[in-house]
Amino acid sequence: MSNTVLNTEHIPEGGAVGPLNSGWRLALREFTSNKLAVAGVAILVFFLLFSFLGPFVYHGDYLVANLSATNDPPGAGHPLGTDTEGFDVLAELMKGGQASLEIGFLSAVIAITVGALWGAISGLTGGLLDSAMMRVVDVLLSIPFLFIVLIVAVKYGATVLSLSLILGMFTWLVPARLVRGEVLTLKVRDFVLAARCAGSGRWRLINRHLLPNALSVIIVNVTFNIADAILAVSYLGFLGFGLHYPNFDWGDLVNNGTEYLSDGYWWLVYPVGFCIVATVMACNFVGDALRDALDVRLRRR
Amino acid sequence: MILKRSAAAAAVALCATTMVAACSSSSGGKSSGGTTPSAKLGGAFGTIPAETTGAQHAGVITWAETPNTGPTWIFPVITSAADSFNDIDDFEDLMWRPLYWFGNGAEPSLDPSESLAYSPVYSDGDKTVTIKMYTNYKWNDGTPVTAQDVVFDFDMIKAAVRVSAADFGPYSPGSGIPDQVASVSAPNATTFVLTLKAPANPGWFLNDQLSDLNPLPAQDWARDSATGPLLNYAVPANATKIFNFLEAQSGKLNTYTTNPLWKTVDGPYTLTAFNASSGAYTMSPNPGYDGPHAKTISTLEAIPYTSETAEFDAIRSGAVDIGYIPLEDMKQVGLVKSEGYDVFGYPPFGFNYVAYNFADKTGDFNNIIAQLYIRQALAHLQDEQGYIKAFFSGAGGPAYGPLPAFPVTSYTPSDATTDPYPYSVSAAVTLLKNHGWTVNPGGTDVCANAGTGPNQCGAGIPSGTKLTFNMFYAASLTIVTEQVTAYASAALQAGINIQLKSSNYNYIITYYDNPTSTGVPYIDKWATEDFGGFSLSSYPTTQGIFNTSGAENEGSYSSSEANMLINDSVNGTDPDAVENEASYLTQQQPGLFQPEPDNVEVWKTGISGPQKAFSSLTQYYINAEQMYFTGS
Repeated sequence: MSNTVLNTEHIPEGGAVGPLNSGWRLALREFTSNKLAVAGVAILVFFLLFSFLGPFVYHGDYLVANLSATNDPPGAGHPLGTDTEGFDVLAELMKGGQASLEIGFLSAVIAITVGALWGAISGLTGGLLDSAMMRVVDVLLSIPFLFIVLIVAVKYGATVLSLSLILGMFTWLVPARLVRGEVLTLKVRDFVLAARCAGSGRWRLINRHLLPNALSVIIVNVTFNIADAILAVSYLGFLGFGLHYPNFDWGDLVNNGTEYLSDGYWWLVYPVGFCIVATVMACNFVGDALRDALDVRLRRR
Repeated sequence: MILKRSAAAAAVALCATTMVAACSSSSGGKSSGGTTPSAKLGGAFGTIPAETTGAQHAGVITWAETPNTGPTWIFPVITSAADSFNDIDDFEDLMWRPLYWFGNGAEPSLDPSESLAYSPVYSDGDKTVTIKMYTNYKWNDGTPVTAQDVVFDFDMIKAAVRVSAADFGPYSPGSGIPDQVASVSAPNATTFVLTLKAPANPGWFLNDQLSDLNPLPAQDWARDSATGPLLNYAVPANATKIFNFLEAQSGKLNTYTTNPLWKTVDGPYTLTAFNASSGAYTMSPNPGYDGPHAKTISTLEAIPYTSETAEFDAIRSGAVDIGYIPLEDMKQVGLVKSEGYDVFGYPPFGFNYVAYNFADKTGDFNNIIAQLYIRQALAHLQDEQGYIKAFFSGAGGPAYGPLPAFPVTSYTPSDATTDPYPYSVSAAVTLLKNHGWTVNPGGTDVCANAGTGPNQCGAGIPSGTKLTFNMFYAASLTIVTEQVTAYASAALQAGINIQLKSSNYNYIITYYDNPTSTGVPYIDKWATEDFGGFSLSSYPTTQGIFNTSGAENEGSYSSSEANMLINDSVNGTDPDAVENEASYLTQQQPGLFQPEPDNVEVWKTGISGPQKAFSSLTQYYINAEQMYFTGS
C-alpha cells in the first residue's frame, strides 16, 4: 500500500526498508481487508441510522393503540403490519432498536470500564490483593446473572439506565480477567520497568502504559459485550421483564409476537428476530476482525 | 365468604368452587332456579347444539384437565389449601353430591334438579332454617341419604374448625357455618334444621353457607380408625377423632382407590384409578345414582397436561373428547371445528380489576384516587369492547362493576349490563379540565387549581401535583400485558402518565397487599396493580374485598356507605341488598373493572346431552354423567 518512491541510491545495508506504518494503520488495513468485518460495520451503521434517524423519516405510531386495526398484515400504511395493540411494527422496530442499542453500548462501556480497571489493578498489584480481587470475580461468575437481573427487574422495574447498569455490573468479569492476564505479561516488559524506574506511580503506569497497551483486548471485548447485552436484554424482554410501554426493546417485541406465531402472524416475529440476529452477528464479525487486526500474532504479514 | 383470587380468572384456573344460587325462601329471597339457562345466555361465544334425540350409548369420555390442576384432596370437608375447583367441582362433587347444587349451566344459580334437598325455609325472624331433603338419593351401599348424614357433615366441619381454621377452607370466624349456628338437628330422616345465633340474609346463607354442606356417609365414616366401631359423632371429642382420622386418610393420595372409605358414594361416580403424581384419574359409573344422568353413565377419564400448549395439541390431534382452547389460540377455532369439535365459550363468574391503592401517599396518590371524578375519568379510558375484540378474539364479556355483565344472575342489577363510564378519552379529559387540571395529552397533567371546590382538584392535592402513578401487573399473562399497555396508551392521550411495571403474580399478591403484614412496608410503593381478579360465589357480595376491614381489600378502599351495603348483603333481610351493593360499587369504581375472557370449551360432535351439561364446563364443572355418545 506504500506510495513512497524509494531512492535506490540510499538503500541501506541489509536491503530496502518499507515505510514505517503505525500499528493502528496496519490494524485498519487488516480490518478493512476482512469482508465480513466491513459487512459487520455496515450492518451496525445501518441499524444505528435505522433506529435513531429512521423515526425522522418514517412516522408510524407506536404510542397510540388502535384496537380496530390489530394484527394487520403488511400492507399500505403499515409496511410491516401492526401488532396486537394496533401499533405500527416498523415504527416499533425503530423505537425498540434505540433501546436495545443504547443498552448494548452503555452496558458494554460500563463493563469494560469496570473490568479494565479491576483487571489492571489486580494484575499490577499482585499478591494477596490480586488473589482477593480475582476470587471476587470467580464468585460473581458463578452466579447466574440473568437470575439476578430478573429479581432486580421485578423489584425495581426496568429502564434503559437500570438495565444497562445491571448488565454492565455483571459483564465486567470476563474483561477483568482478560485485562489482568494482559497486564501480567506487560508489567514485566522493559518499558514498564523503565517507567517504574523513572518514578511512575501505579495509577500512571495503569493509565499511560498498561491500559493503552491492552487496548486491543479491550476493544475486541467491547464488541462482544455489546452483542451479549443486546441478547441479554432480549431474553429479559422475551420473559416479560424488559422495558415497558411507552419504552420497549426488540426482546419485548419478540415476546409479544411469539404468542401468535401459530396464528400465522409472522410479521410480529421474523422482522424483529432478523434485527436481533443481524445486529448480534454484526458485532461478532466486527469483534472477530478487530481481534485479528489488533493482535499482531494473528495479523497477516 | 368464598372469594378466590385468580390470575385473570379465565386464563389461569385458580377459581372458586362455590356455585351460584338464588334464595327461594319464606323471607322473600329471589328465585331463579329451574330455568333453561342455555336459552338465555347473552354474549356467548359459539352455540351449543340441541340435545340429540336419536340413539345414545355409553363409553369412555376423556376430558382434559387444566394444566397443573390435578386433585390433591378427596375428603369433602375441604381445607384451605385444597379449596379449588379442581378438588371440588371436578373431583369430589362427582362422588359426593352437595346438599345444594349451585350452577345451572353457565348461570350461577341454584339447580334444584341437581340438589339433594328442597329450597330451605326460613322462620323465626330468619334464625331457623328448615331443610326438607329429597327421598330418592341413596348411598351405593343401599342406605338412604338422610338428614343425619347432613348433621354428620356439619359436625365434621365444626371439628375441622376446632382443629384448625385452615382445615375448613370457607371458614369465616364468627360468621356463617359453623360459628353462626347455635345448633343443628334432624327431627326425622328427611328434615334438617339449623338454629342460628343471629339472623342471616337468606340469600347469602343459602348461596354462601348452605352451599358448603355435603351429606357424608355416617354409617361408614363415623370411625376413628379403619377397623374401629362407629362412634357417636354428636359428642365433640368423638367428632374430632373421626375428623382427624378422615383428614389423615385424605392426605394419603396413593390410597385413594384402595381405601374402602372412599368407595361409599352418593354421586354418579366412584374413583377407580388415580395417579397422585400426574393428576390423572378415572371415574367409573355408580349405577345406583338417582340424579339426572344419561341412560347409561359413561366412564370419565381425566387427562393431565403439563402446559396449555400440550392440552391444545391434544385437541388439534383429536386425542381428547372434551377440552378447552387457550385464549392465545383462539384464532384457530375454525381448525378445531374442522377437527370435529363443537365450541362454546362463556365468562366464568367473577371479575378482573386493577386495584387502586387508596393509602399510597407517593405523589399524593391517596388524595388523587380518593376523588370520584378521577376514578370516573380512569374508567372512561378503558375500551372494554376493544379489548374483547382485540385481545380475547371476541370471546369475553364486559364488566363495569364487581358483577360482570355476563353471566347474568338474579342478583345482577340493571346497571351492571350498561357501561356507566363508556370509553371516551375526551370524556376523561373533560372531567379533568372541569376539576382544575391542566391537561397535556402525551405528557403529564398538572393540578392548576388546588382546592376543594367543585371545579378544583380536590382535598389534599396541591397545585403543581402531577397526574402520574405506577401500575404493577402480572407479566406471565399475555392478556394482562396487552390490556394494561392499551390502557396506558389511552391514559397518555389524556395526559395521565402511567408507569407500567411488570412483576409476577405471587410477588404482587404478597407485597402489594395492604391488609397483610408482608404488605405493610410496601404501602407507599404501589399505586395500582393488576394481578387478575376474583371469582365470585353465587351470592356476589364483595364482603372481604371492598369493606374497610376486608382481608382481600388490597388497596385499603374505605367507604361507610359501601360498608353498610355490604353488611346488609350478609346480615340484613333485604333480598335486593347485594344488588344495591353492586350498583353502588359500580358507580363508585373502587377499582378499574375489566372485561372477563371466556372459558372456551370444546367437545367432540359425537357427544351429546342436555345443553347445560356443556355450558357448565365454562364454570369449571364436569357433568359427564349427563353426556353420552350418539349414533350406534
